[in-house]
Parts: sequence; structure tokens; C-alpha cells
Amino acid sequence: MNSLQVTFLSVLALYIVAGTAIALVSRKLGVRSIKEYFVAGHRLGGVLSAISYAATTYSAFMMVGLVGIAYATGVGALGFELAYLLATLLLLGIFAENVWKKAREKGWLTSSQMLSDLYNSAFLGGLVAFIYLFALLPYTSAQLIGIGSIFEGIGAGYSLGVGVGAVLVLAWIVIGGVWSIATTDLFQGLWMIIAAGSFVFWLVFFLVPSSGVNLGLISDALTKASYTGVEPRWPIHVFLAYTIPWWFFAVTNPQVVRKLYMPADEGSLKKMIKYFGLYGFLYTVIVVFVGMVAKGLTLLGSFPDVTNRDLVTPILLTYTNPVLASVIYVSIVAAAITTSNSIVFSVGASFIKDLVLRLKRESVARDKTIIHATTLIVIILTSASAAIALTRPTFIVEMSVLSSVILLPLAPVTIAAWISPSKASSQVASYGAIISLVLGVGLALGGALAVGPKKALLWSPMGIPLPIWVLFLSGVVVLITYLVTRGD
Amino acid sequence: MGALPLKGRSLYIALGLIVISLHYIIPYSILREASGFSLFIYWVSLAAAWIAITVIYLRRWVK
Repeated sequence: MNSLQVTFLSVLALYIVAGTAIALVSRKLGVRSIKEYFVAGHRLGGVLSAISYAATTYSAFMMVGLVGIAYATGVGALGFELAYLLATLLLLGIFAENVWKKAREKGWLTSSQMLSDLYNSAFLGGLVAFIYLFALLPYTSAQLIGIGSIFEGIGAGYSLGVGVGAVLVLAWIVIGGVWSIATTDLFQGLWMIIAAGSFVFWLVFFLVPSSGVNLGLISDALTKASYTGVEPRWPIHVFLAYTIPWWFFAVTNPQVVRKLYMPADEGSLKKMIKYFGLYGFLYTVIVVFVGMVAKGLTLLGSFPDVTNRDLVTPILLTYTNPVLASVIYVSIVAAAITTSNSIVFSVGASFIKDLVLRLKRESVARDKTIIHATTLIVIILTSASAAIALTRPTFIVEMSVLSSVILLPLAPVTIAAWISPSKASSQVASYGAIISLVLGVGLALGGALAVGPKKALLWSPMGIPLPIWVLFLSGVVVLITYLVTRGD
Repeated sequence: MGALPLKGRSLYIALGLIVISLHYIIPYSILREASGFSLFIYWVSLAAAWIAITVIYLRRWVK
């Protein structure tokens, strides 16, 4: 083994031991009732909620995929990722307070249960749970691919990386449910942002000067090669196709919707939104800046031309010392784990509560039965994600974004119910929501089948990108049913 | 919807829509072929301004 492999495995071991210790301590906070297990008894503090929200949102895609996009396409990558942040803060500012209150009143544990409750339709809850399962399995696999790629790059073996990732995802869910997820998220979220800060510090103050260039020269080189504007690499239809699915991430993805149920009080909810915004802003700017500086170094002949954009970060890290490289590699593992375990847990909880138990007509199942059943489905989902990851399908970015396109029809359905719960509870509205989801998801999948999942995102029938069509179709159906429905 | 006066929430929504529009319009008009880090700085400043607006909005929302 070389020094990087030894250092990486040592830092990884430290991370695993610390994370597992935190998860075990968090177990004492309570995992006996389903309310504790699924939503931490609605008593998460503001900082814990915020970092958990951020760490769940920002996945391995950031340090692997987004650095690569910034390297390959320039500043448009910043606009792409910040569009998500702007829209998310707007949505949280408008709806978070009300959703947080309602979740406590109604005892919501899952986002599919929330929709089922708002639309007064058990079938809708089951359908949503099924859509989550279908859409988010590739997203989780993409995270495990990220971990596998890191291990492979270091020479520790792709399959071993996927295996380690899957075991950590499982362990840190099973130990304490949401408590172990949130507390390990805090630990990992801090690791991620400190590692990112160290990465950019090293890049600007060590790599750039040691290459005999400066940021001014890099800026000139980027300008000359057209990496500093949206043209020609981000034509408007591409920018829209990439950004629109992410606008609604905060309302369509169960792993983040459920985070709104957990803060202890209004002050904690407010802190969650505020600190998440600051975290997301810093992390995004750092990641894109790293990718652009790397491209500048390539243009100035100080860094190799990387054709596989997912390898930009791993190749950059070969220029640093093994300790910093290992800390950053482990931060990518952490980003993948924090995203994966929240997804697997949310999808598993929805699957058990809103699909299996409803099909079995067990409306009053014992808490222990639900917790055990959720653990079982979490094991199955993690294993399935790992199996998919081992086959290494397509690019990380396209896989992640396609998941968001499949979930996109949930945006109008959810937002309409949040705005007008009295109309949502009517039979017409529930039928409308079901039709909207079936048509929207069907269109997204139809696009994927027609041109392949990788090209589906940018597929633009009549010049309009597929995500806009999906949003339009599902939105129109919801709008019509709300217009013909009379609220209480 | 919630405790915040409708006026405050409406203003926040209006500002949000303006900020998101500016996020798209300026880069595809004035800064279409931006040089140096000008577009980078524009997007960073816009996002920072929106975070500041959100923080102010939240401070007024929770008494």
C-alpha cells in the first residue's frame, strides 16, 4: 500500500469510529416510539436541523459532479446550483412554518402520509410511496457510485467502496433512526464544509502560486476560452432543463420534506432555514470556484486536461499531501452517506407506513412492528442500491437530476395542498392529484424510454425541455381540479 | 397561512420572484458573454442578498 492509501484508510477508520460512537450515544435520546424513530419526537435543535438538512441535500454530487461540471462548462455551474438555493429558501420561507405546525398537529411521520392526509386518500399515499421508491433508488445508487469511485481512484477497489458505503448507510440508520441520522449528519456536515474550505485554501494559496500563475491569469484564460459567461456552454434551454427540477427539490424529495417536521420549536425552524442557507451558499461557491480554477490551470498548461469530468477532484487531490487529500476524500464519502441514509430511511418509512401497512389494512400496527419492518425494507433498499451501483450505470449528474424530474409532478400536487388544504381534501382534488402524478411521472419515464435516461433531461420536444413539459402537464391537471373544487 | 401578516409574506414572495428572475435574465442579457469573474460575482452577490432578505424576513416572522 502507498502512503495515500494508508492515510486514507486511517482517516476513514477515524471517521467511521467517531460517527458510530455518535450514533450509539444518540440512541439514548430515544428510539422506542415511532414518533421518536421517524421524526425525533419533534425536538431537534436549530443547528442540528440545519446541518442535517444541508448535509442531506448536498451529496457526493457536489465535490465530484459539480466540480466536474464547473471544470467542463464554467460559471454556468454556479448559476445552476445557486438557482436551487434561491428557490429552496423561497419555498421554505413561504411554507415551512405551516408545514411544521401541521406535522405536529396531525402526527405526520412521512411525506407520503402528509399527502395522503391532505388529500384524504390512502391510495395517493401508496402511489407516492411507490414513486419515491422508483425515483430515488438510482439517486442512492449514484451516491454509492461516488464512494466506489473514490476507493477506485485511490487504488482501494471500487467494490470495496460500494460495500463500505452500503454498510455505513445501514448502520447509521439502524442504530437510532432519525436521531442517529441527524447527529451523524451534524458531524459529517461539519467535516464536509471544513474539508471544502481547506480544499479551496490549499488551491488558492498553494497550488496556484506553486504553478507559477495567479488568479488574474486564470481569470484571463477562462475569459479567452469562454468559461466566464453562459454562452456557449449553457444555452438557455440547457440551463432551464438543469435548474427547473431543482427548484422544487425541497417539496418533492421526501428526505428533505420530512426535515420540516422535526425542529423543536419555531426558533429552531427559523435557525434551520437560516443556517442551511448560509451553509449551502458557502459550499456551492467553494465547489464551483475549485472547478473553475482547475480549468484555468488546465488552460495555462499547469494541470492536465481531464476528459472525464468526474475525475477532476480526484486528479486535483493527487497534487496535495496525503492527509488533506484523505480528509477531502472522506468528506465526499460523508456527503454520500448523509444523503443516502436520509433517502433510504424516508423511502423505507413511506413504503412501510403508506404502502405495505395500508395494503395489509393494518392501520393500528404496533410501534415495534413498524420499526422492525422499516429496518427490513431499509436493508433491502440499501442492498438493491449497492447492486445497481456495482453495475456502474451512466454519469452521476444525469442520474441524480433524472430522479428529480421523475419526482417533479409532486411539486404542484404538494404546493396546491399546502396552499389550500380545504380544497385538497375533496374527492375531485384527490383524483386530480393521482391523475397529475400518473401523467407527469409517465411523461418523465416516456422521455427516458424514448431517448435514454442520459439524454432525457435535455430532450426538448417543440423546443421546450422535458422537465418543463412534466411540470406543465401535472400543474395544469392540478389547477383544473382545484378550479372546479369548492373548498370548505 | 401561519402567523406572519399577509403583507410581509406577499412582499417576501414578490422579492423572491424578482430575485429568481434576475438570476436568469441578467446572465442571458447583459452578462451573456461576461469576462473575468463578473458573472460569478453577480450570482454570488444576488444569492447573498437573497439570504440576507430571508434572514430579515425570518427575524420578523418569529417574535
